[in-house]
Amino acid sequence: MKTPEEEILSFSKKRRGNVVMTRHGSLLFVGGHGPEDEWTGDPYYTGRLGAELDEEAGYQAARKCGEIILSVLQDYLGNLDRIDGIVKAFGLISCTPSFTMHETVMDGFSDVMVEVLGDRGVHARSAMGTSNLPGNIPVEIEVIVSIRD
Amino acid sequence: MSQTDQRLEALGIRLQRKDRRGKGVVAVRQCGDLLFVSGHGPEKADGTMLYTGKVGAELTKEQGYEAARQCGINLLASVRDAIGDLDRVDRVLKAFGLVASAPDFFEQPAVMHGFSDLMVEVLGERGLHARSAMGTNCLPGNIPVEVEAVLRIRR
Repeated sequence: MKTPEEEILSFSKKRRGNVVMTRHGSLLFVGGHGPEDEWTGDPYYTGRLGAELDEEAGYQAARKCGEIILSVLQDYLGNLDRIDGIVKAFGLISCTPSFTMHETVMDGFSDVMVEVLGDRGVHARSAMGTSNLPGNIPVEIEVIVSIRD
Repeated sequence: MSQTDQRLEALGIRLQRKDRRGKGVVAVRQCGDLLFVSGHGPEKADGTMLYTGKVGAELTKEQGYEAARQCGINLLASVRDAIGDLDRVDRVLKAFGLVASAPDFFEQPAVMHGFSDLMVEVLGERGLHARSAMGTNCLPGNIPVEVEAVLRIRR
């Protein structure tokens, strides 16, 4: 019988002490995910909001982040019905200094959570701009998820 | 009137703003005895921003301090809205402050003191918290400060 931590370690790809998620009791702390292919790491979107990308493309990129996070949770939990709630999301948006539509971009993530999970998808959220993200992705989102057995 | 509300009245602070975000996002999400509070900006009661712009460019450090304080007032308003009574706040565990900064501005902690001072003024020891502060090139709606927090409540 594996502990929850061992279960996560055996399932997730390990990158220098950095795992996809950790668990404490009924809470999962999921690391930042970009709009990238989970196996190849190839980004679906690159560039900064307000420069190469507009907010509609940013919305779609944030949606993709949400879909990827749900697929990671599905892999770990086996069944998304085990999600009690998406508790908290933190969104990092790569953008020009004059970009202001961060919330519109992050709505892409929030919309997909509610479409898939209904009321369980409702969450607290923060969004911020930054000048650089890994691999020049436009959006990176981390979440805290509450689960049930 | 709760003890914390009396304290707010003595300080001359009014929490009247109700945060209704919608679109899958709520101001406060409870999980067990923890409250996860969304990032709050420096809106005033009338819905307009106390300040917009970047600290170290359009705004001074002192204006940043005032903005962080306003973020704190709004955050407490959302918490009271969620749990009914701020006396139920057991502890502000953790705060994370984002400061939209000019590239050569390095005093983000001095800005965040505006938030932390308010927490202690209103909640006393219960307002003491772990804190991180960072500068960023821009924030939603060109606000200068955004603060999110995790609180523990009494059930």
